[in-house]
Parts: sequence; C-alpha cells; structure tokens
Amino acid sequence: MNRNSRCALSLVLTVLGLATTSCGAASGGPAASPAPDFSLPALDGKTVRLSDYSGKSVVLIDFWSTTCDPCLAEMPHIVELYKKHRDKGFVVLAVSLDGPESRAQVSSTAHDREMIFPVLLDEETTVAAKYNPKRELPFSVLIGRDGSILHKRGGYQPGDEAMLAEQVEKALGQP
Amino acid sequence: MRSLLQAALACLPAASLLLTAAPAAAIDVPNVGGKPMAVDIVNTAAAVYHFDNRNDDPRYASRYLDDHYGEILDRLDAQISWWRLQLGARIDAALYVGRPAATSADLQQKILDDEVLFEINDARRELHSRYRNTVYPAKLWVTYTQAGIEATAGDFYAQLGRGLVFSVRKMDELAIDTTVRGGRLALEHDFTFLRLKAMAFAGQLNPLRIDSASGRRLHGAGSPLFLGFPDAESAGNLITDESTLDAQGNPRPVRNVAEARPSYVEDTVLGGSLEVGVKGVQLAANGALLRGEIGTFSGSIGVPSIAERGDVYVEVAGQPGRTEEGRRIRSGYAIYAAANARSGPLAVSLEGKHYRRFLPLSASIDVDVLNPGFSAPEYKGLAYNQPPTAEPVYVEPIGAPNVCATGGRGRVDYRFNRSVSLYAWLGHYVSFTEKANEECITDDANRTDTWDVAAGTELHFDDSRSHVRAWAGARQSDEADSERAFYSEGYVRYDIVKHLAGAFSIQAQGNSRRRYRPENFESSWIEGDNYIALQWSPHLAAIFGHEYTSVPGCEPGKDRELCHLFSGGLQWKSGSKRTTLAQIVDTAQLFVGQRRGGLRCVSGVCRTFPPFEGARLELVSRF
Repeated sequence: MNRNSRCALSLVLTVLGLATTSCGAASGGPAASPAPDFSLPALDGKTVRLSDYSGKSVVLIDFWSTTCDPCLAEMPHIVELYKKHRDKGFVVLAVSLDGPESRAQVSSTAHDREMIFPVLLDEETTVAAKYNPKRELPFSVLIGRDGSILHKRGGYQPGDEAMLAEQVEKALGQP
Repeated sequence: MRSLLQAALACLPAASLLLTAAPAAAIDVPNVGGKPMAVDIVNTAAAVYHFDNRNDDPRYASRYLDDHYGEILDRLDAQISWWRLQLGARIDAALYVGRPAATSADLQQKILDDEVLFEINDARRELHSRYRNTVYPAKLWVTYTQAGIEATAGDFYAQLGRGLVFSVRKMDELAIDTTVRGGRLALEHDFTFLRLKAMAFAGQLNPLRIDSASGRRLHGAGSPLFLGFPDAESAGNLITDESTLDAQGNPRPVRNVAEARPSYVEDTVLGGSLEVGVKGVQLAANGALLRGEIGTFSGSIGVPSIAERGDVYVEVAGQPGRTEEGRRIRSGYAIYAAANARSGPLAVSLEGKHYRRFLPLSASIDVDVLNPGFSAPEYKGLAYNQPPTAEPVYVEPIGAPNVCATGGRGRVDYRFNRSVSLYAWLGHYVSFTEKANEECITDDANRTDTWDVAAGTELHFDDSRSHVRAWAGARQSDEADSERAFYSEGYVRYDIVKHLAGAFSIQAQGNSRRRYRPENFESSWIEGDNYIALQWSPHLAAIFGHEYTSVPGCEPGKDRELCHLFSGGLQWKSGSKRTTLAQIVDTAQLFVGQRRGGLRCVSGVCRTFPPFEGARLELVSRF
C-alpha cells in the first residue's frame, strides 16, 4: 500500500469517525454550534457585523448572487418572510457573492427585488469560505437567538420556502 | 491490511443499522476554557467513470487519453471555531482506476495502423502529469477575529478594488479555488466623522494542484510553504524510448531521460489597500506587487448611496512599464466606472471601461502545449486579477478582449408590478486585442467593433412559486478595416418553473444559440442546452438534459451534421440533520450521460472543459 492509498484510507476513516462521533452525540435536536463572527461592507457603505445581531435576533444569512437563477426565485419568499417576522426580532443578511463582473448589478437587483434588509458584499468570498465552503448558491444559514447555528441549507426549489418558514417560526418561538 | 479491511466489512451492516436509526447532532465538542467550540465538516466525494467522450483527433495524444477510466475525487473541508479563532483545512484526494496507459494494446494498434499522427512517446509525455494518485492538504488557515481586527495566517482570499489590481476568489463552479498562502491583516476603525480600513497581505499563490476536469496535476518548485504538495520530484523524470540506427544501419534502442521539472513556480505577492470613508464618500488606494516585479496600482472613489436613489464608482489603475526576460513591456492603464440610478419601478445601470495595455496577472505556470510532460495547458486562463468586462456574464471572450478595449453597457429594468417586469441592455465595445496584438496598437487593422443587445421579461405567479424568465439577444462584432463580420451570435435563454401542487414543481431551463465565426468556420452553426426537471421539495429532483451542436467536427467524422448529447440525473437532499444517515447523505447526485465540451464562463472567469460522457455519483456529507 503506497503513501497516497494510506492517505486516502485515512480520509475515509476520518469521515467514518466523524459519523461515529456525531452518532454518539445524539441529542435529538439541532446542534448548538456558535456562528463565527464576521464583518462585511453593506450596499450603503456601512460595515455590518454578525455580532451586531447574533445573540439578540434570529438571523438568516442568505448567500446569493445576481447571476444565480434559483437565488432570485427564492428571494420573494425571503422578503415576505422578513416582512412577516421582522417585528419579532427576525433579521436577514443577504450576502452577495457577486465578483467584479456582476458587482455593478447588485444595487439595481436589490432594489428591483425589494430587498429591504441589509445586503452585504462578500466580493472576496471570505465569509463564503467560513460558512459555505462548497460555495453553493443559494445557501442559507439560520442562527438562533443564542447565536448558534440551527440549520444550513443549499439550493432552492419551489416548496422549500415552507420548510424555511417553519424553521424560522420555530427559532423565533425559542427563548 | 487484509484483516483490517475484512473487519471493516464485517462491521458495515451493524454500522449502517446504527446510522439509520440514531438521531444525531453535529459533532459534540465540550466547552474549552468556558468558550463553546464548534466543528464543521463538509465532505464531498465523487466517483466518476469516463466513457469515450468522442473528442478524438489524430493529431493530439491528449484526445485519446481521456477515455475509459475511473476516478474518485474527495474534498474534505473542516473548520473548528473557538473563541475568536477559526482553524480550517481543505484536504483533496484524487485516485484513478483503470487509468489510460501509453502501452495499451488499443493505442499501440492505432499507432501501428497510422490511425493517429502521434507516437507512443507523445502519449508518455502526456501522461507524465495526468491521472496521478494524489492526496494533499490544499488549504490550511487560522484566523483571529475581533471587532476591527482580522488576522489570518495560512490560506486566504483577497480582492483589491473591483478586481483590477488583484483578485483571487472562490470559483468552485469552475473548479478554481486559488488562495494566497501567507499572512493577512485587516484593520478597521469607525471614528465619528471618518471610517478607516487598511489591509495588507503577503504570501505565495496557491492554485489547486489537481485539475479535476482533466486529471492534470500541477507540480510546484518545492516552496517550503507548500509542504506535502506535489512537486516536480514527486512526478519523477520523464523517460521515453526511441530507436536510432547504428553505423551498420541496425536499429538501436535509446532511452531518453528528461529530468523532472516543475510546471508551476510559486508566485509571490505583496499587496494592500487603504480605504477612507467620509460623509458617504469612499476613497481607496490599492497596490499589489507580483513576483517582486509586476506592480499594479489603483485609486478609486465611490458613493454607495446618492439620496438612496443611486450610486457611483470610479477606479483608475496603472501598471508601470518594466523589462521582462530582456523584453521591454510598456506601461498600461485602466479606467472603470459604474453607476446605478433608480426611481419607483425604474432602475438604470451603466458600466464603462477604457483599458490600454492592461495585462492580466498571469500565473507562472507552463501552459505551452508544445512542452508536453512538464506543462499544464488546462491552467492557461488562471490570472490573479479580474478587470470587469462590463459585458454580460456569459460572453465567451475571443483573444484577450480586455487588454486594450473601450466600451460600456447600459441596462434598464422596469417593474410593472410584483409579477411582471421587463429589462433590456445595449452595449458597445471597441477592442484592439481580440485579434493577436500584444503591443495594443490602436489602428483599424486590429480593431473590432461589437454591439451587444438583449431584452427579456420576468413573470411571477402562483404566489411566486412559479416564474418565467426569458430573454433574447444578439451580438455582432465587425472588423474595422474590412467591415467584415468577426463574430456574430443570436440567442434565446430561458428559465421556467411551474408549481404543480404541494411540494411538486416542474422546471425547464436552457438556451439556444446561432453562432458565426468566419475565421474558424465557413458557415454559422447552432448549439444549445435544454434541461427539464421534476422536483419534489425538499428531497428529490429528476433531471433530463438534451444538448446539441452543429459545430463542424463536433464528433469525429461529422462535418455539418447535428450532434446530440443526452443525459439524466437524480438529486437527493436529506433536508435535515436529524439522523446520522441524513448527515452522511446530506446530498447525493447522480449524473449519467453526455455533456458538450467548450468554454464555460462564470462571472467573467472562463475556462475550457473537455466533453464528458460517463457517470458521476457525488455524495455531500455534513457533520
């Protein structure tokens, strides 16, 4: 068995080990993983930090881009969800992953889609690397009032918004 | 070893039962020093088998050596967050099964029968850096974050301004994940009337060493920063056998040994930026020095909100002249501007550029196809900056259109109500480097004039669960001196989703293009993709695809006939992390069939993919 095969086997065993670890940690509910803090410039030029909201509000980080069709299809539902629950402490941070090629379209798209929540610019993909290492789009991370990550979800197809609404409402109901 | 495998196999049924039944949380890690710790793992494993992708060309060994092999690709992303620290790693593995061999009987017969124009040594050179089993720590980093300070040691992404000066970003859609490995410090402070932000970084560029589309491995020069990475020594010497005639005219075998050498000499970079924000106006200065000799600098001014009705951004960049390998390279510059205005249902977006001799920051990778064995042509487009093109994101560049170009695009969006909107754009570009023109000579002999126009609509219905997005466009590029067509294209693109009932919906997405490029082909050709998917939210999607092209030579022996490519796929998403099995099989995707090769562009970055025919099963696990 050569070096590469040994390394590959180690990788497989690592994954199986992780599965076993998580198995042993069975608690029946989502895990309380603290959400790493970050700061990003917003469309209006201000800097927004996750810690400004995390620990007080239920935060949905939504990774999107102007060139991603399913992101744009999901956006009206996120806007509706935000309008419905913002008074209860629900915050949406829409993190745009647009690069140099499409960055100029972000503000028009945000206006056109009535994105009334903070639109953040992750041009360097630094925050995407922390939360969304596969760079899936759309990709959302729901953070509870205690600052822990409750759910992560990639992709969108019609009907997914019902599950998202249920998760947000459940998170808002939690202390 | 055998007994270990047997033991593992014996445990599998019991383990699978346990995994299916057990409820699960993420990896349970106790508090450390009173602070919570989180471990986040995403593993992506793909098993792929390549059939004959029908791209054979008797001139090139590479076209015969990309069929009938299997590969297992794995990527493990792991992060640990604790207190203000985050530690991360990405480990990549590529293992090949039944890999193409220069000594295969089939290939040798083709060579003997003169079916191909290359020799067995060409195949040996081609395979010297392809299909090599590799496991390496692609990314490693530790980041410290607190209000106003972010410091990273290891791998990080960076962009200065709008990408003119420096840009290495995550582009997983194109299998590009270049980082800088070194150190980065970002400081930010908000005074009452002034906001200051400064960032500095230094290190060596770290592109992925395995090109998953081709199986090509990049061999570094052995920088100590990249311990455990494949280098030239790991590939070894390139041995080829030839036959010569001795003095008596008898054949005599000769073994040639070409010493191992790198295909990538690790690039060093030093960069930084300073941003000042005063009363809604942002000023920035950016600079990067590549390999200690190629400087690129810029200054920008931006107003992100003008009475909440618009924004404007202008960046001016320069590249001082220098002497490279005894050749004088003249200085270059770039001016880029973007502005948005909106009022009620109307939004207008404008972008413009004026670039002269503004060169891409190319990687020190040998991409010479005439140097097989020690080159990696698949990395040809890899650059460390990305000047905005002000063009639609899916435009496929011809030549190097952005090096010496002037142009702009205006786009108008009008929303009638929440359900109906229209949009249109018009762009005009003058380029002097779509034809080969390294010196950026701005005369009519080098000039191409391009018009790009499109219009479309977006309709939403069924409470926004259904939508129609469709647009049609045309692009016409003419040579200025002869007024002949240089390139033309007409196209339709669409994305239609109809919600059926409950969790079910159906989606149709695709495009159809008619293209004409007289320099390469006598007549125009058509090509397109059409995909239909039946979706069951949130778990399942079944996809059927049809691609077609009439480009001459789309298959060996086909000249003007249409080539059809079919595919089918299934995607499963667990939609939760309730059980361990749901964590292991967070997403599973199966693709079986064919895909057209060619240039694929995502957000202005393009790379060429070979055609694919085969099956791919991808499993994403999240813990």
